[in-house]
Amino acid sequence: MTDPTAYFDDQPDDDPPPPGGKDPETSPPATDSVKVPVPGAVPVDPGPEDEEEPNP
Amino acid sequence: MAFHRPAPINQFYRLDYDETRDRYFKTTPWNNVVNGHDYDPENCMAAEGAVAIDAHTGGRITTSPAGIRNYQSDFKGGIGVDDVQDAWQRHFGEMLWTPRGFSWDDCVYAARQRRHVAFAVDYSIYPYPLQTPHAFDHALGMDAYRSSDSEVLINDSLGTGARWLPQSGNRKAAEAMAIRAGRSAGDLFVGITAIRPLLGVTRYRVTITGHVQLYTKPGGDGDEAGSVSLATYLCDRSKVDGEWWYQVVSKADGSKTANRGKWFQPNRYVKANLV
Repeated sequence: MTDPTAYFDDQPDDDPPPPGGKDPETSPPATDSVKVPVPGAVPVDPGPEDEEEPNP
Repeated sequence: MAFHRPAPINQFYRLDYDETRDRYFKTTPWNNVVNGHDYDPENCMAAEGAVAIDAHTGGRITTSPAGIRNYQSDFKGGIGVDDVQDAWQRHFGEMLWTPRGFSWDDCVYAARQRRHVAFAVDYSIYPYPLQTPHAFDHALGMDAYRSSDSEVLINDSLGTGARWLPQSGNRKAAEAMAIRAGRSAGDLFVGITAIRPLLGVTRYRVTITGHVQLYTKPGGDGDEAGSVSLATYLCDRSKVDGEWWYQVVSKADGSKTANRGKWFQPNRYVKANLV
């Protein structure tokens, strides 16, 4: 499990990407989408049993 | 490089953070019931949409799965990235981009730009499931890329924290979802946030004794977000477009503040000490 603190204090990417990749802000927008999940094939509530109670 | 990382969101349970153990844990169920129907099992994309808006706004806006679900118009089951986009625009005035023709490599490129990428997957073939059996479609979020091993940081709403995972299984599941839904492997179902600004790793205790304007974003393109005239905060300092900006992290004692995530610039009423 990754450290869940709010800010990276490691160096996740010390090799920035080269310029030239696609820009989502100027790319043509999709006109459709897929809905996930479909009814009837959904995850089940696993319950909180795999977690510990918070310290009082 | 430091940048804001969103808190994880579980689609079934609220999460709280245990500072002593440095981990999140489940607390109470969301129970997102609308017209008698409990949407928690169908809220994977809604949960991911809530994680994404935290990333998109640097923590200025945080919400729940219901905060996404209940502000879009599809209540027939699961939702898509377009529905998340609808909720963002309708309720928060924010833009989630849902481009056409984005491949897995395009998504990794976006993550390397410090964007957060929501994407739909066929979870039945996913090699890293958090539930068994897992014969359902699902939504995941890619929050970062790690150059040392090319792994990506994945938020899964069935868990309690992001995981560094190989790209291979995530790519396969995302492409399978696209192909099954009538697209191609190079045309994934994605929702992509803005680029997150770099944050300085230097944290300061900042005492404010006079008028200081707060903003939603640094660098002059943010909206005004109230002001403060007397406060002490812990802040992260970073340089944006050649000027120093502070982003509020917490109150001086580390407790939460309503101004978390807001930005301001130093002036004669601002005294900062490195902590």
